[in-house]
Amino acid sequence: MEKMKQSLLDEALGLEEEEEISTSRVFLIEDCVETSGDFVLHHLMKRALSSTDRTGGGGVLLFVALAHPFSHYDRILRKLGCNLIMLRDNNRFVFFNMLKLDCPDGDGTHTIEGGAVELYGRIQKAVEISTSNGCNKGCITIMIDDISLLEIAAHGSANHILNFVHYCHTLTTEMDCSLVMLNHSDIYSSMESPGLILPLEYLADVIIKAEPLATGLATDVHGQLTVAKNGTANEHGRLSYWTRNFHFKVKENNVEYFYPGSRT
Amino acid sequence: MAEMICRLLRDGALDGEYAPALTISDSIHNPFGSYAFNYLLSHLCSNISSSKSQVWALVLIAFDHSPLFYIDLLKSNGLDVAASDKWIRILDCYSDPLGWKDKLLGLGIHVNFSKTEAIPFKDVGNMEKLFTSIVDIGRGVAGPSKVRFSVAIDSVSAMLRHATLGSVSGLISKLRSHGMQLYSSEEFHMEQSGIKFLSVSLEKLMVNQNLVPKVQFNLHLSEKERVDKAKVVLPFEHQGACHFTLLWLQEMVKRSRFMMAGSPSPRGKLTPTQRDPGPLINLLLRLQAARARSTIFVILMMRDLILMRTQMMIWIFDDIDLIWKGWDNIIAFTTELAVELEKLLQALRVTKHMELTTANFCFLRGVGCFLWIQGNLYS
Repeated sequence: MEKMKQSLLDEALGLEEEEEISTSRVFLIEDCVETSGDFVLHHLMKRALSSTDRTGGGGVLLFVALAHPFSHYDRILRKLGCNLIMLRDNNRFVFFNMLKLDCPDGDGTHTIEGGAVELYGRIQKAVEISTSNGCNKGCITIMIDDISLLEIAAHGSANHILNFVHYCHTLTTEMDCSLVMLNHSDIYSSMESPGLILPLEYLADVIIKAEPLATGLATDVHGQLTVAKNGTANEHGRLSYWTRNFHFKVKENNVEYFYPGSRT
Repeated sequence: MAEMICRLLRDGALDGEYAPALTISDSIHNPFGSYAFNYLLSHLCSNISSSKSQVWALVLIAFDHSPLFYIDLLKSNGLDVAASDKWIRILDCYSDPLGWKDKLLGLGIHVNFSKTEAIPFKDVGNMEKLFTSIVDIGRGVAGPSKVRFSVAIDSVSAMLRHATLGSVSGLISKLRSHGMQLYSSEEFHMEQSGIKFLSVSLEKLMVNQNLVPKVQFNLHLSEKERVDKAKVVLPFEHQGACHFTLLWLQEMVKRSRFMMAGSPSPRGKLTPTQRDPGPLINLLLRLQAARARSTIFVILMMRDLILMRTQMMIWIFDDIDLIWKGWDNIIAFTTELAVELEKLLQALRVTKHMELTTANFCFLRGVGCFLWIQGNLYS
């Protein structure tokens, strides 16, 4: 029963029957203060680390952490059945601790662009090491937690962030990596034309929105997820589009997903 | 419509005319512009490769997708990619638009990226350099100077992130030094195999617009002016669900006996293009005497289920002070225009009776004014 409910998110993400993360390459998770989308990120972390390629090799996760320290993710992923310390030792989990990332502009030596290039360079180097270690291209996932903190580190320069994300996107096409980004959409709710969120939405193959229920707080339902899949071609050249909406409840060790009205 | 655009792009330009230009715009709620772009690009490539097109070559500027994506697209459409270097060149602004990878290469970080025949471009903020590259590449692939080549840009939005609006519009303007655009619409739906356009008749919805005035009068308006401007009801907003066609005056000159072209050149005189100028041109000349320096004359005809409704709009782009000085002349002009218009239409037996319902001036502060006339033609 639990497995079936878990698969509701996988099904919506197009991960249901595939061993690899997906034919979709760019995932954007949007959440808000009332409803955190962290659990979706953790779910995708687990999927990325537990995915296997056709030769049986495991997936590699390059994690750019701006929101939490390693111990936070380690504790949560342990509950989901992943040992990040072991995976890190095996070079399958690369953790970029960016909690203190700051790209000041103006002193000439450390510019915002310089900081973005440096961070991208570290990711690119990690991709290079992973491929040289025998990891197949399709099994490398880059995760950014989260974009809004990256924007703060860049002193609000959305353009530099978009350049950075674009370069990460080139890795998805040239090295067959996947890219997962978390962003807080309500930060931009008061802006007439948010310069960052729209380009990211255009870029994403799958957009996952975590929102509170429109009817207000409920004890049995913690919020709703809307998964919008843009047209991405699968290996047979066919395009797929869909939008799914379902509710969720975050539990101690897992998350329960269900369609509205399906619970008694 | 999609077929019509494919034909337009295939047929190219007549001697002395500008080549057709196409702009595709989409929104986040309907983000399928790239699919329409790929569809039209595929057809254009197919026409070029089979020598059915006027242009001999295509320069594709790739910002949003990698060159490999387009090579796969051509392959999936059955085009001979091996021979494609004879008629297509891809300027790769996607893989390393800012030269970061070159910088990293200097630091010893290198990844063996997929190699393509695309030409790398690593300074996307420099529109002058981009223009030079496009022209050089186009000449290189097209060969002799008389041979035409097409330019396709897969995302102007991406260009605008790296360069100012002025420099981007400057680049596009230089590529095709004029900006008359054809706006059409057609329904489509997305299928698993890709985008499918629903065929509708050409007359269903077609709007021609000239973007040049928008560029020329790109003024900084105050908040109040912006509000006032937003309140001005533009002609196409009257239409509702009716079918309408906005015809260019130049087209009208070609097709009808009584219309005359008003040259939109600054301080230019209205040059009669027919032997018999007719009363309308006399009125326009009188308007000219009212010190309107340039006039663009547009007739809008629309039809609904019951009656023929004619809407005429005369744009007078000019300095507002000069308009005010010529106010008396303009009032006289309006009255006479209404009478003459009725006479003309009756003479042409277009309709039995015409009733002018409104004739108003709408002023856009700092820009000029336009005269808006609406009438009913009873058949």
